[in-house]
Amino acid sequence: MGRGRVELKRIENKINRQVTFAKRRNGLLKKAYELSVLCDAEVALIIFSNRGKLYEFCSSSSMLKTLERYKKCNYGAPEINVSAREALELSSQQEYLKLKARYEELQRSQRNLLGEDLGPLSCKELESLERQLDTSLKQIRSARTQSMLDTLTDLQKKEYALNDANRTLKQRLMEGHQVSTLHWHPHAQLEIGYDRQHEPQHQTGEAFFHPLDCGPTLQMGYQTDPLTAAANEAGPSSNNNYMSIWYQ
Amino acid sequence: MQEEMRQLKEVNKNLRRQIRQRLGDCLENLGFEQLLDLEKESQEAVYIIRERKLKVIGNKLETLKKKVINLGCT
Repeated sequence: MGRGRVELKRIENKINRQVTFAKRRNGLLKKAYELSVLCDAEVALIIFSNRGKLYEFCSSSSMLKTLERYKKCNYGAPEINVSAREALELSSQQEYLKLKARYEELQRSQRNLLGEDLGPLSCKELESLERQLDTSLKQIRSARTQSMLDTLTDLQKKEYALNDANRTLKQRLMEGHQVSTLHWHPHAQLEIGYDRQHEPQHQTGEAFFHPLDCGPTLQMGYQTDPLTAAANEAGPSSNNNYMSIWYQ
Repeated sequence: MQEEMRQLKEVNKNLRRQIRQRLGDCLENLGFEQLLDLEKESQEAVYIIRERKLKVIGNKLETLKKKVINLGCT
């Protein structure tokens, strides 16, 4: 810009140095002022001449105030902070953009797999998509069938268990009834035998309820073997046993 | 911004899982109803894709046929 090209090193000539200092100092102070006005920045400028004289400019009301602010700002580390922060923001922004791009990709795949947005796909791509879905349909169907078979097995097990329980209950019923009818109708023993397959519904039904009327002291308790227990103790205990069958 | 990123990651994770299921993978924890739905969707999709594929190939064939005729062969 100036008439002569100036090399950036200490000006050897004392007078030139002095003159240059004065000129550039004024220019610098002016620039600082302009910067603070144009860009609404808080600017402070401190210049110590070679001989120790102080020249300063401050855009705010007091240099000390601006210096305080400078102090609070981490003493010159701000420069490093700013670039570190910027770098961080940049990388997280990049990460965000990557995520967004991934999202678009995934969304597109999903829609294709639903048979949507097939416009841009080439013949080959369509063919490969069709094949992928065909294969997956096989898997899905076999998984579905497996799930049905599992449910079936579960239900069968439940059926067996319930049938077993039913059989046991009926057996106990019969045995308990036989014991109690033995007590109340000694001759009924001849009518009802240890026939487990054949269930004499009506007879057992009627005789069944008789003991109920006669038992004032019914005790509910758990007996492991009603038949044995009944055999050991006569009388009210037989009611005890047959009631306990219901409650087991 | 952090919240948005977290949500995006979550959405992406779900999409990946869904896509895997549609490709016949990771079907273990799906219930019977869900398997039925998935099968239905995939079946419909295959149908649409096949239709589109045949249409695209068909169009190409037509265009080429016309070109050949125009060129005076046959």
